[in-house]
Amino acid sequence: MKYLFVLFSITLFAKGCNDEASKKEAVKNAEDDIMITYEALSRGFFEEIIVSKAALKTTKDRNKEQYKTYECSEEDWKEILSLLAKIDAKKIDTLEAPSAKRLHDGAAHAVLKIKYKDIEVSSNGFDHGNPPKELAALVNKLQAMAKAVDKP
Amino acid sequence: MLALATIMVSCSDDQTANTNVEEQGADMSDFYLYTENTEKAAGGCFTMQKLNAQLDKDADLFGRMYDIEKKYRQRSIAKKPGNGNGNGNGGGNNGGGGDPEPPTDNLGVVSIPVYVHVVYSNSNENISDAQINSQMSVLNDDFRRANSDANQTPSLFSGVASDTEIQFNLAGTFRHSDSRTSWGTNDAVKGSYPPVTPSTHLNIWVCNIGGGILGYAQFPGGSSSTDGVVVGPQYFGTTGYLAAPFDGGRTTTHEVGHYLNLRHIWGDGRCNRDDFVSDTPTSDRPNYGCPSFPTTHCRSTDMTMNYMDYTDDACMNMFSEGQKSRMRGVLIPGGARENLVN
Repeated sequence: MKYLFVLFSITLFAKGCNDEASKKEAVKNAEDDIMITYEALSRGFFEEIIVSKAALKTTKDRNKEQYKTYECSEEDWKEILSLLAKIDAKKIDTLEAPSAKRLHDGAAHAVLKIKYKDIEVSSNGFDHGNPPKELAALVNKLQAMAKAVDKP
Repeated sequence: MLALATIMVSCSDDQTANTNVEEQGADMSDFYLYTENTEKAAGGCFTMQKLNAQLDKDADLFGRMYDIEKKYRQRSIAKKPGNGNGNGNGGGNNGGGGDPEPPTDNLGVVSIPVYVHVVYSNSNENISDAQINSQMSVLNDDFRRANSDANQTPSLFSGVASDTEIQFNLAGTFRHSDSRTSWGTNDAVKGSYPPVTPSTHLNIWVCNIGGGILGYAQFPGGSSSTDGVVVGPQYFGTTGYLAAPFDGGRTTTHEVGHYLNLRHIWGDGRCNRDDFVSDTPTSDRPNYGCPSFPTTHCRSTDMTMNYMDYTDDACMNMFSEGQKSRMRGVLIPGGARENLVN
């Protein structure tokens, strides 16, 4: 499992998803198994955004029973992959949050998770609205996608 | 690559070794503010970690909080152990080693004067005196363990449930009509309506915050111009303009806990992150709603009924003895909030 994890991080996330590699059949298939989750929660607030090649799913239900499901456009998915390629997935649990308002309830607690098949890596917690700079572009993209479909 | 894998194995374990760094007698190796201590190191995953340099603008705040923490721990070491002068150090500290024994103090029951600033954009938000008084009652009941649901604390934790011997008295109410409908969490309300003598009074602003935030606090050591807690009107008190399930006044109890130096009970991180209180079990997440008992994370039963968790008002009912000591640690002479005591 651990070996697989390392292998997975290096082969898929380090060199995968760039233009050269994405042409390869193996990587193409691997893309189907990637899932990215953004979660933000506070005592009175919950939001989850899940993006995969197949779908964009959002919920404000803390019990995660009711999801709204949308199509993930090819264009969006391509952008997600290109943003993902700039992130060293195996290191997201070492990135430091630039602020700490969540410690005294001034912000919701946020986390980004990247999953490939059965392997999932979680970032450290950070303030909702102020992600570590390495994750900011991807987090902002996820939130923009959710905002575009979740019209009140 | 294998070496890397090995380190990852050791670091993914919940029960990681703690590399203690002695600093003038007080072990400060676990203190944190901004970062999550998962930096990998040979032989252990827990390294002394200073605040990241990116936080320049908050460096002063960290310095002050670090000093407060260090002073508290040094005093704890000097006083410990077993000279109990009757200030209710109720024991139960098995497990979770490394945390300081609580300092003893001679303050007796402390009464903190409170100013309430009601900032409203409609008549609902202009909450009644009765609603404000109902909140004061909850604060006093919760901090003195006179809460009617104290008997709901499971026996596993009732031994460490504490009367903090801290109480609150309403010193004045200020009402401000303002067209602004939500105030956010950037202290805007405090800019418009500054705190009144914040060194000697707990200031509470009651206004709509927005963004799903029920209330927020400021730790000891922050700027006096923003010192105090902010709570949404629907989550303040037990009678009047309220929204279930946060209609039991416990949002304010929780925020005042932060104001008196308490961290979230799960330590705002993974299992190896502590709330600096030894009699609260380790956890890696908040709990919500009304969890069934026992709820287990990090190989121990969570104290989900603690005011510093994220459970519903009806399902929280205690502070611990360790939390009491931590809060009183900022009130004793030399403490960051000593001037609240008169």
